[in-house]
Amino acid sequence: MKVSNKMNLPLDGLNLESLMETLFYREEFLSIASHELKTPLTSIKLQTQVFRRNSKKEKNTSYSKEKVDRLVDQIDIQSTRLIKIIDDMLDISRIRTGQLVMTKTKFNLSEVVEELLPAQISSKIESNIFINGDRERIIQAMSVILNNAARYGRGLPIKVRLVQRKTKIIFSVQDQGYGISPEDQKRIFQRFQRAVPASEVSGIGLGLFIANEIVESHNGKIIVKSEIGQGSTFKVNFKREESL
Amino acid sequence: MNHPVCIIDDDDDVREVMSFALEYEGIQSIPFASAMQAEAYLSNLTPDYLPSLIFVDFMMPEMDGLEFINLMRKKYPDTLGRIPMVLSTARLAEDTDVMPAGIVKLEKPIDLDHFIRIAKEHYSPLEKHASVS
Repeated sequence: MKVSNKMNLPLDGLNLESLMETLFYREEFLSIASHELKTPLTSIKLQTQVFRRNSKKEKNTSYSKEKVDRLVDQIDIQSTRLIKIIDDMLDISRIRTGQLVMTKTKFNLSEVVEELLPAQISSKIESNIFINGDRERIIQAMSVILNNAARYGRGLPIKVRLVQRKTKIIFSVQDQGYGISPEDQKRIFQRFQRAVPASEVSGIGLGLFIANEIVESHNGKIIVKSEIGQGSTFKVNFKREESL
Repeated sequence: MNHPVCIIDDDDDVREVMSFALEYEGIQSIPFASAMQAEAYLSNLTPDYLPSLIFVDFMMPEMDGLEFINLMRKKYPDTLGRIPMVLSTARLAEDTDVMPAGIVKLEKPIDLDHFIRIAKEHYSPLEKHASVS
């Protein structure tokens, strides 16, 4: 593959292999983003076209109230899905320019985790664990990890734990899904990276990158332990502040 | 009785609204959430009951739309393999520029009028379709 140098950049000092890899992932990202943005748009556009077609028909053939409600609900859900993708892309831009600002306050992390968990998930949540952090951003990071466990977990039970130790707070999510190879474990926290091919599970591969940035902004660390076919455990460690 | 139009798409909303739009036009449809489900069901149909047209999404887990079409043509050349197939895709146009012969591409977001026009062109009464099979 020939890399053109239209901008007359001094390529001599650059690692060509790394540059080509970046270009490859950029192309791959554009392709995945196109699919991920167009899928909710397909649903929204089809539904608005269905409404338009219906409005041209005779009154006695128009849709029932239930059907109209259902179509409107779907438009709403798909619009939210689009907003989420766009928000992730904006976060990437903020991270790149150092503008992902954290507004830290003291809050009850145990309550936040309890609220995040769907009823059917098995969990062990110690009560009244407090943390000094950006509540919304921490919710965002934890949601990424929980959603990934649901998406890659093959529908098998997930275990969630929030515990406090002498020096740290540990939030962990264990799934019994596909598992992640050691090689993929090294790159899943990078931008536009996924351990599973785009055709297998939807998403643009930004979630863990953003989650990792958020956790690191709180002096924390995300650790992954995984084995192919056996599932994965994502552990988020925060330093425990004595004053809290 | 008419031969239905088959819709294979892993996105629940897209599948539901495609199916609904067809039924509103008087076209019976059978939706499937995956290519595997579709094969399991369709391969058990006798030729007289085969669908008149199949819309299949390109990007799906386990088996993508193109793999499904190729499988149908190879495994069931005289039955399912002869049904007209439309590959719907949200991928970049250049990713799906080269299509195997005889496959129609339907780009997402889907134009409803175009989608219904294709379905109506192929939706056929039992007698007419049976003679083609």
